[in-house]
Amino acid sequence: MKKVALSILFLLLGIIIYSSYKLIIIEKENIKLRSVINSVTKDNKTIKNSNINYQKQINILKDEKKDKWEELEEWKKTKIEIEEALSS
Amino acid sequence: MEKDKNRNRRSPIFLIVSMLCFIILIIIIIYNFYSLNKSSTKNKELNNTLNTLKENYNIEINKESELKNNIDELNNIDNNISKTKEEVFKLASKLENKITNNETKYKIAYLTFDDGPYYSTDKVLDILKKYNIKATFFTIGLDKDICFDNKNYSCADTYKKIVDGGHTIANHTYSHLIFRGLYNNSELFINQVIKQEELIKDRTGVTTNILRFPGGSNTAKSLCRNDIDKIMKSLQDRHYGWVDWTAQDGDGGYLPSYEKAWSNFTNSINENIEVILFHDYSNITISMLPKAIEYLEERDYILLPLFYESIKVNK
Repeated sequence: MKKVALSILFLLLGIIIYSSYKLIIIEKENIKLRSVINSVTKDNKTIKNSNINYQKQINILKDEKKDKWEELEEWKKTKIEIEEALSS
Repeated sequence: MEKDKNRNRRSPIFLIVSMLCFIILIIIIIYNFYSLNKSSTKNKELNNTLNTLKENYNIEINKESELKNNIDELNNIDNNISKTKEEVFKLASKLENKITNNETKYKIAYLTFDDGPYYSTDKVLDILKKYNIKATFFTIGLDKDICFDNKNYSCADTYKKIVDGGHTIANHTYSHLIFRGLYNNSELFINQVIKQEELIKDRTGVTTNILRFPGGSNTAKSLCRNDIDKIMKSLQDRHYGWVDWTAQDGDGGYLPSYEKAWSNFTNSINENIEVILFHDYSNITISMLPKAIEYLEERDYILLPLFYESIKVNK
């Protein structure tokens, strides 16, 4: 009877130790993930802001060179049209 | 006996304590597994969030390089236009060969407008812009500071408008005076070509090397029989190519009605590579132009401006 009780006790303790160990590992991983997420979020924010600035710069340049930009777009369309005709 | 009694008395307490320990251990285990489950779920969520963030980051990185390219394109827009134009003309040359060898259903039409610029050239440019079509303008220089068709305006700036619209500006001699000495001798003719070349260069910054003889090459050949070889040689020396036409609506002569212009035009369209002659002073041509463009596009014609390497430009 005593032996059975002791076996159950050790089994339960084993389960507790294993699950705690797993828990610690996952929590550590979660902490790591959170820090990576924070850094990627920061990078994302930085690159988003820089892209917004680039877009603003483009809008200003497009406004300044509106006619030329339209001309370039038209030539690109013509190029695509001829390429399609060539590949048909 | 006494020992047995004690053992019997201890047994229930021992059992109760053992049971309590057991229950506590079970509770700890349940709590651990609950926490483990929660952490695993959180871990999955964090991984998903990280993946989404990484995807967004990659999207932004791609966007950044695209935006940087756009900025470069805008900063070097003139070079980019020239480069794209060159590529278009190279491809158009290939397409001309394919068309000549009957290897494609597509065709090419070069719209050309002679004798301008006029006040009405602006209307032509607007129509071409609306349809995203580039054409060729064979310009002259005499009496263009005041528009012939509207004396209140100057046509001096129209040369630049033609070039800014992406069209090919070409030479039709300075004066176009066919029956007033233009073809009297080769020297005089070449001087007229050079004078117009310089005017175009001065007004637009473009050096043209495409010419259309006023009245066409047959008129030139018949009016200066003796000097035509000299003229051709001089043009070659100056790296000029010349173009006639294969279709027209007849707006260069007497044109009684829109219907007549339309029938002239549609009847003359029968080649796979057409050079179509119009005049930008003709109101009939201008009113017919949108329909003419649609007519050509419906028949698989790609409308392009002339370029020196085209097989339609005689060298």
